[in-house]
Amino acid sequence: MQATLALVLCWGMGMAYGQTQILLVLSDSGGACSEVVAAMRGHFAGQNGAFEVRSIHASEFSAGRVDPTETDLIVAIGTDAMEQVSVEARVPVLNILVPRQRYESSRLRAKHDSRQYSAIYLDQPLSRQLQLIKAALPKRDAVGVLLGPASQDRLKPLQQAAREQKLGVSVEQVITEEDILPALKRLFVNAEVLLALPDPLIFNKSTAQSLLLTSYRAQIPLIAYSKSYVSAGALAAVYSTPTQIGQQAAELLLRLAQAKTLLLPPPQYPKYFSVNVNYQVARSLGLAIEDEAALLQRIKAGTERE
Amino acid sequence: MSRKIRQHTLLVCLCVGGIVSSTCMAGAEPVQVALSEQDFFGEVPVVLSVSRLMQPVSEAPAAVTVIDRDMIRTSGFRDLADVFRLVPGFYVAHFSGNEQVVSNGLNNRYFGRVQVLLDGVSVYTPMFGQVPWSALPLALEDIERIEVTRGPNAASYGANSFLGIINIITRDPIQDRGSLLAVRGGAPALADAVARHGGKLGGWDYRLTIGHKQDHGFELRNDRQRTDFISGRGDYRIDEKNTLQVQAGYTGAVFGRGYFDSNIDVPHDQQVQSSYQQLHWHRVYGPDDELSLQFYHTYNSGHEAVTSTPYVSSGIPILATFLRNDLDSERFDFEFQRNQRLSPALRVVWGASSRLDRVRAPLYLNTIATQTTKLQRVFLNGEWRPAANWVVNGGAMWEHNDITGTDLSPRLALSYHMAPGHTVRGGISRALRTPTVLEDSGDYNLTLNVGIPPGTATIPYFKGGHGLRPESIVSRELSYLFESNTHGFSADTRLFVDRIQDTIVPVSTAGVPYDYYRYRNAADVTMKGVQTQARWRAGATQLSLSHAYTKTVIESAYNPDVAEDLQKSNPSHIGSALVSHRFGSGIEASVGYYQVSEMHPIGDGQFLKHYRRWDARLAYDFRVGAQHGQVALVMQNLFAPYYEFRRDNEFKSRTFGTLSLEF
Repeated sequence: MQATLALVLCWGMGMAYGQTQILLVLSDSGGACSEVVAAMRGHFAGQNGAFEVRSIHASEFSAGRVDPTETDLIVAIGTDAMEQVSVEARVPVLNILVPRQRYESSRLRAKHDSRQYSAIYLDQPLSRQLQLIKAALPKRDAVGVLLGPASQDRLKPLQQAAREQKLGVSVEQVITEEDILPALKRLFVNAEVLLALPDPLIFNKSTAQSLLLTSYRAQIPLIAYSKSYVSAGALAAVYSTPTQIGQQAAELLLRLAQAKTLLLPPPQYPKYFSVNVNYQVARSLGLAIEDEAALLQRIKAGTERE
Repeated sequence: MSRKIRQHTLLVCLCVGGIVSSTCMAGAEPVQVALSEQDFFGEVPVVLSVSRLMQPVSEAPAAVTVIDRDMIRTSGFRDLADVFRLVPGFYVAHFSGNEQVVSNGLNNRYFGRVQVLLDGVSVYTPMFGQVPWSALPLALEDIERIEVTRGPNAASYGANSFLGIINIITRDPIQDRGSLLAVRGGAPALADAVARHGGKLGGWDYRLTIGHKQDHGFELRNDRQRTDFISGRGDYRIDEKNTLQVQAGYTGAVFGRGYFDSNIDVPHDQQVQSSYQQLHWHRVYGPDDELSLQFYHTYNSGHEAVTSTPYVSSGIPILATFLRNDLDSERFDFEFQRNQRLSPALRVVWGASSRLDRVRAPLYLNTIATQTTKLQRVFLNGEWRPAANWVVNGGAMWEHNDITGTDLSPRLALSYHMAPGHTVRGGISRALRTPTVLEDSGDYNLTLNVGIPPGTATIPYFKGGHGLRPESIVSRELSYLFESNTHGFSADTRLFVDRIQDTIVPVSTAGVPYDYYRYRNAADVTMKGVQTQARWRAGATQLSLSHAYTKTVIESAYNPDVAEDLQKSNPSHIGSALVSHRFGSGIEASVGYYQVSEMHPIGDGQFLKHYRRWDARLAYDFRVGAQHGQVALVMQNLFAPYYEFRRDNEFKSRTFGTLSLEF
C-alpha cells in the first residue's frame, strides 16, 4: 500500500539540466505532513521548476526503496522521518515539523557537517510566547511554567527571555506525572498566568483534563502552544500551521537555489505563525481579549522591536 | 413499598459496580515519552466545554449569586443551608437543630419554592417539596461552588424553579488527589469528622468521602442530630470524546423530634435515610457541541413512633396511644441534553427528561398505597448575540405532570453591555410550581385512644386541596451590573416585580374548634423590591455584601388571616456582609454579619423580631513536612441571642474549633 503513496512530484521536466533533486521524506501519509507537502508544492508551482521534487514515506526510505545519493537534498518532515534520515543519509538534510528538543538530540547522532544538517523548528521562540502573554493579558506579569524531562533545558532561556520582556517567571520542575498537581498548586500561589511548553510528560491527552480544570478553577488562564489545547480549554496559543511551516521551508529552498548552494542556514524558529483565542473561556474568566488579528500584529511588532 | 425501593437501590448499585469493574480493565493509555509533532497537532479532549464553563454573572440571563469555596470556608458555616445567608433575599433559618429552611420569599417550613440541584440531581422531596439539608450525603469540603439564581428559571430547570435555583457543583475528583482528615468539636456535644481520599484507579479518577456530624441542637428543643454519610464519585474517560461520571451517596441519621410541652408529639427520635445514585454520560464534540445523558435515583425515608402522654381535652380523657409515622419517597429521573452552536452568534441547549416520583406516607396521606407521579419535559434555550454588545437569552420548557396537566414556562432576557464592565439587563419569565403530594392529597388525621366512652377518636388536622391549580409566577426584572477587573470589584443591583397567582396556603377552616387546615389556591401576591450584591477582592482581602428590600402586596386573599400570614412571612430587609483577610504568616481572619428584619414564617413559625448576628473565624495554616494543615476557631453569633424560626429556637453564642490535615 505504501508503494502507492510514493508519489513522484516533478516540476519543470523540460529543464532537467541544473535542477536540484529534492527528496521529501514523510513521517506520516496524511495529516500535518501532507499539508506541508501541499504547501510546498503550491509554493514551488509558481517558480518555474527550480527543483525536481519526489516524496516518499519514512518506512520506504528506511527499507531502501530509494538511493539517497541520487538526490541533492532531503527534507525530512516530522520526527519519524528525521530519525530515519539522520541515520542513513549522507546528503544535506533539512528537518521540518520537528520539535527543537528532538532535533537537538538527533543533531548529536547525525554525522553531517554543520551546514548540511539543519531544521525549522515546530516550537515558537520563548520570546514570542511571552509576547502573546503581554499582548493578551497586559495586566498579568507573573508567569508560571512547569518544566519536565523534555523541557528542563528551557529554564535558563526562559528566565533570560522573561527578563527581556520584563515579566516575572516562576518555575516548578516535574519528574513524574504525580508531581504535576502539587507543582501546579505551588505555582498558583504567585502565578497569574500559566505558560505551557511542550513536554509529553506534562501535557498529554490524559493530563490535559486535570491541568486545564485545575488552572481554570484557580482562575489562572493557560497559554498553550497548539490549537488543540485552545479548543480543549486553554485561553490562547501562538503556533504555526503545517502550511506555514511548508511555506517557510519552500522559501528557504528557493533561496538556496537562487544562491546556487546546498549549504543550509542554522536551525531556525517558525517565521509565520498564528494566534488562536478561546473567547468562551476568556469570557468565563472575565477577561476582555483583543481579536486574534490585533494580537498577531502586536506580537509581530513586539518581536521586531527586539 | 419500602422494600421495593431498597431493591431498586441495590439494583442500581450493582449496575454501577458492574460498570466500574468492567471498564477498569480498559486501563490507562500508554504515556508517550518522546516529544514529537503529535504534541503540536494531536487532538486534545475538550475539557472546558460549554457545560463546564462558568457563565460570568454579567452574561447570565437572570440574577445570579456565586458562592465559591473561599466564601464557604471563611464564613465558618458548618451547615450547608447557612451558606445561603450570603445570597441577597434568601431567608435561612433552623426550624430545629436538624431541620433547616432555605427560601426566597413567602418563607415557610416546607415549600422552599426553590429548586435545589446537587450535580444535576434534584433533591427536594416530592412529599413536602422540602430539601433534606441535614441528610444530604455531602461534605462542604467537596463543594467547588454554588450558583444561586435569585428568581424563576423554569425554562432551564423546570417547574418548582419558582423563586430560585440552587445549583451545587462538587469538585472534580482529579482536583483532590490524596487524603483529607478534618475534625470539628465544640460545646454542647458538637462533634464532626470528615475523611476523604481521592486517587486514580485504572482509568478512573475517584473520590470517596465519609463523614459524621452530631450535636444537641437548641437548648429548649428535642432536636439532636447524629448523622453518618458516605459519598463517592468516579470519573472515567472512555476516549477523547466520551466521559462517564458515577456518583452515589448515603446518609443514615437519627434526628430528635417532638416537643417537650406536647402530649401527643412527645420528644422522640426519627430514623432518617437518604441516598442517591447517578450515572452521567457526556459526549463532547467540541467546545460548544456536546451531548449528555443522565440517570439518577434518589431515596428518602423517615421513621418515627411515639406513645402519647395521657391528658384531658375538653373533659375527655385521652389515653396513651401508640402513633407511628413512616415516610418513604423516591425519584427516578432520566434526562437527555444537547448543547450546540448553530451559528457564530447563536448557541442553543435543548433536551428532554422523564421523571417518576413515588411517595408512601400512611400518616400524612391516610393510605398505605404508594402515590406515583410522572413528569415529562421538553426544553429549549438559546443565547443569541445579534451584535457585540447585545445578548438575547430566551427559552421555554413544556411540561406534563399527573397532578396539574400540561404547562409551558417561557423566559426572555436582554443584556446590553453599555461599556466594558457596565451591563444592563431586562428580563421576564414565567414559572409554575406544581402542588406537592401533601398539598394535593394530604389527609392527616390522628386516631387517639379515648377513656370515656372507651374507644378511639379520630381528629382530622389537615387535608390536601385535590385538584389544586399550580402556583404561577411572572417575574420581571431590571438589573445593572458593574465589574472592574483591575480593581477586583463587582456589584449588581436588581429591581424586580414578582406576581404570584394561586398561591397555595394551608387555610384554617371556620367553625372547627381547633386548627384544621385545608390547602387552597388562596391568594395572589406581588413581591417587589431591590436586591444588591457587591464583591471586592484586593489581594489578601475579600469582601462580599448582600442586601434585599422586599415589599409584599397581597392582591387578593381567601380571607384576612391568609393575607396577614403571607404578608408577615416576608421580612422587608435581609442583609449580609462577609470580610476576610489572609495575613502573610498563614493566619486568616474573617467576620460575617447577618441581619433579618421582623417576620413571622408560615408553618409552625412564630413572630420574630429583627435580629443581627455577628460571626467570626480565625484560622492558621501550618505545614508538617509535606503535609498541609489548618486549625480554625469559629464563633457564631458573638453578641445577644436571637430566635431562629420559632421563639424556642434561641440561638446563643456558639464556639467550635476545627482541625484539618491534607496528606
